[in-house]
Amino acid sequence: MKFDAIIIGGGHSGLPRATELQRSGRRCLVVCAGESPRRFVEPVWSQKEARRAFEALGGTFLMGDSVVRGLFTDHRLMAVQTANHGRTRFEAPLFYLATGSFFSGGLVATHDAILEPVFGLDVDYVGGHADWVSPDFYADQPFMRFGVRVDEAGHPFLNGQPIENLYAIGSVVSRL
Amino acid sequence: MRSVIHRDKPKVALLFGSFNPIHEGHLAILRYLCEHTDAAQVRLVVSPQSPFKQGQGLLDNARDRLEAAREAIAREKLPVEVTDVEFALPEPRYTINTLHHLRQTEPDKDFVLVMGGDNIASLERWHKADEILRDFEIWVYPRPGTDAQPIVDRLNARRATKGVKLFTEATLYDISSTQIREKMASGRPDAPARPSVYDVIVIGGGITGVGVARDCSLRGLKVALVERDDLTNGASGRNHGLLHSGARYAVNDAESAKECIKENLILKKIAPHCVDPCDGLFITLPEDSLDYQKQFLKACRKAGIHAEALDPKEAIALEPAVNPKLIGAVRVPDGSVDPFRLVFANALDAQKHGADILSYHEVRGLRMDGRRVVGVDLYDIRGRQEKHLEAPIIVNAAGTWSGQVAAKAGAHITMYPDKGTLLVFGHRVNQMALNRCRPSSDADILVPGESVTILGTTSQRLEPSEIAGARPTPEEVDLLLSEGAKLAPQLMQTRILRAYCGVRPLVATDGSDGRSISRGIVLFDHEERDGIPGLVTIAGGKMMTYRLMAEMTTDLVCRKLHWDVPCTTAETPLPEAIVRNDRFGGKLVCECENVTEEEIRYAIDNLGARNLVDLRRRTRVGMGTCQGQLCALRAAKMLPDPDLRGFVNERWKGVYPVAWGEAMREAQLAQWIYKNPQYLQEP
Repeated sequence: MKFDAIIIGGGHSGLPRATELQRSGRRCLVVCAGESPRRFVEPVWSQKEARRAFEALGGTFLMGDSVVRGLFTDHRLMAVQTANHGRTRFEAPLFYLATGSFFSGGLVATHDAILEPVFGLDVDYVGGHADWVSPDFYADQPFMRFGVRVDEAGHPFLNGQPIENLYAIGSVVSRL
Repeated sequence: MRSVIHRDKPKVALLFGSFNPIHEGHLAILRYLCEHTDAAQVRLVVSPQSPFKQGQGLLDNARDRLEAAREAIAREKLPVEVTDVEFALPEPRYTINTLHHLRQTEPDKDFVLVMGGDNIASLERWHKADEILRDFEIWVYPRPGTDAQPIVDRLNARRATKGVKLFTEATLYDISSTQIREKMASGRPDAPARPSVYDVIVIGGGITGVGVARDCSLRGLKVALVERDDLTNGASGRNHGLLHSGARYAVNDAESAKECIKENLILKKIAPHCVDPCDGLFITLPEDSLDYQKQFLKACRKAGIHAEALDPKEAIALEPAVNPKLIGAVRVPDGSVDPFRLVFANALDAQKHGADILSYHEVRGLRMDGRRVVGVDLYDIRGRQEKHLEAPIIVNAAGTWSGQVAAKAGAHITMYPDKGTLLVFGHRVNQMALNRCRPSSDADILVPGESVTILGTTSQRLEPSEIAGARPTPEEVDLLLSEGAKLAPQLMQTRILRAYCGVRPLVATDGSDGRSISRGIVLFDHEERDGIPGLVTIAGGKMMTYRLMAEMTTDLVCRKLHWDVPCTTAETPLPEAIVRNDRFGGKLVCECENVTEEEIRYAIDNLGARNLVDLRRRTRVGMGTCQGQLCALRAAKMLPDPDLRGFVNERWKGVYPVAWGEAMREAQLAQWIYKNPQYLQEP
């Protein structure tokens, strides 16, 4: 299936961007992990309103689905596959990653590393887990600024190479 | 005719004692005798002999005690005669001799012996007790902690008993304790020295301190317990919660093992609400030696610990979480114990028996009279004022800080503070306590506690100056995890709630690593050890043996006070220091630990909770899987002085060493909830 833009993440960064693009005449797909029980504190109501506005403009919204694979060619993301749609390829010339930070699962901290779980993009962080968090709750917390590294245009890196047609937006982006 | 005359004789009530010095408790009894009985006259019979050898009391001279008693009675304007009749009597000064003497010199009076409900039990062992009972009426005043009624009934059932009467009016004690409390409340630094109202002051609100306070108060002594922070703040609130069977010590320390199994059985009996008798397994892994298991089984049997060797398959069937690679397992009667509940149950029972529990009262100094310790200088941290308490015996049960307290009296105790770090996992992984069957090492115990599992522990010697700032470190966490996974491999995939650490109050014997120092009970009588009367230190031991430590300490205190009342703590059940949910079905404040508004109100009204950290120790609010993120705000609005910032930082202490995986998600949520909104940032 072909779209003009695919936005991964239907939260408060992804949905407004998708709506903006849809309004400018591009056919958009939003893939949103959505209302699983783990995401209990999300502002579900305002998300529903925003989704309705997006869909009223003709946008496609996949709720409760998640991207499991990206198909790359020459530093470009060609298509993605999702958990619910098996081998179906969702193709687009333009992609946005708006999966958020640790709480929403856009970043994952393992014992040894910080990962971006959708594409395995390069993540900016420092040291080992002892360095990620400050012992004083009210002090600056390094982990709150970790995220995927982007170039000046906002393209994230995969194995040190920027992906030309992918943008990272919102709290998944490094603020180091 | 003769009996009529007998009946008409005016009654003279006699209160015997050394009155060293006279205090409110005595005055309350005298007041009661004057106002509520048919005694025509009340006399205070001061014993010339100090009951304390070499003068352990405050007033060594018998004449001083006599004078102090006369002054106090004059001040209170009581119609009581203070008599030195015993001063002139020959030794030995048995009560019966004094009574005979009085009856001979004043045949027109009917003398009545007044005694406390705690003392009546030992009356039958007195010199010529039969004669006393036959010839003299006895009035018994109730003492908190003892039910004298059965003894009184038994004595009255004897054929040759003149009459034993138990005052059942509650007024006696209401008067006493009210006045003591009033005096305490008005205690100003410049107030003149006044007679001591306490028999014992206990320093330290850990399990040992509350255990001593309970034992002393059950034996009828008037106790004050002082603690500079909250109860359970030291090692008592920061440990495994393992109800040892003693098996862990069986090979190396047979004495500790025997003590443990004995206390294990006692705790299961007196505190079933604090204990989960889940049993434990000591497992042997391929890298361990089965020879050690043989040695272990033998040592357990020798110590009286029921130890049963299991086939690995049986062990896996009993405990599916256990490492399936095990090559041997031994089942022992380990369990888990909630140390918070246990401490508060002891404190509550001590209070019920008349003890005053003064938390947030820091000992700034010991009051000395020459080399004798006679009291404590306190700073009331919440009331922001100085206070002074006096008692003939001070018990130092300050745990890790015992050395500092003893130093205030000039005694030297070397402590080896030893940090142990533990990890709490987000659910109950194992149903039985899991141990490695090998010489003790890091991270080889996994204890299920209520809804979580606790893995420990490490061992690291600290300098005394490092105790206050001790924190679990990420490096210790890594060590715990890699070792702990050998007990139960699924730990690696289990969400970690937090890390915490406690400081073992080891007492130095010989220099070596922390595990070789005996964990035995150390009771110092500083009078004998250092020539400092009035001070006793109870140290070492372990939470499991707190009751025995308290018994040993209280026995020593009683010997010093010549107070012959036996210990009953091994039989007397502990009260529940919490209100159970099911009795109320009220509104839930904490979903993780199932704590209702009623329980929180109970903790505020009856257990002295003022802030969120206090409340956590008393109710488990914030200890569960959300670590306070969802309940802290709800609970905060019910508390007088919630200190949300302090609570959040205290919880954070445990999260930061384990900040990865799910803990990282929670950490981020906590930052959003508790950091950003301006209104939550208390100054």
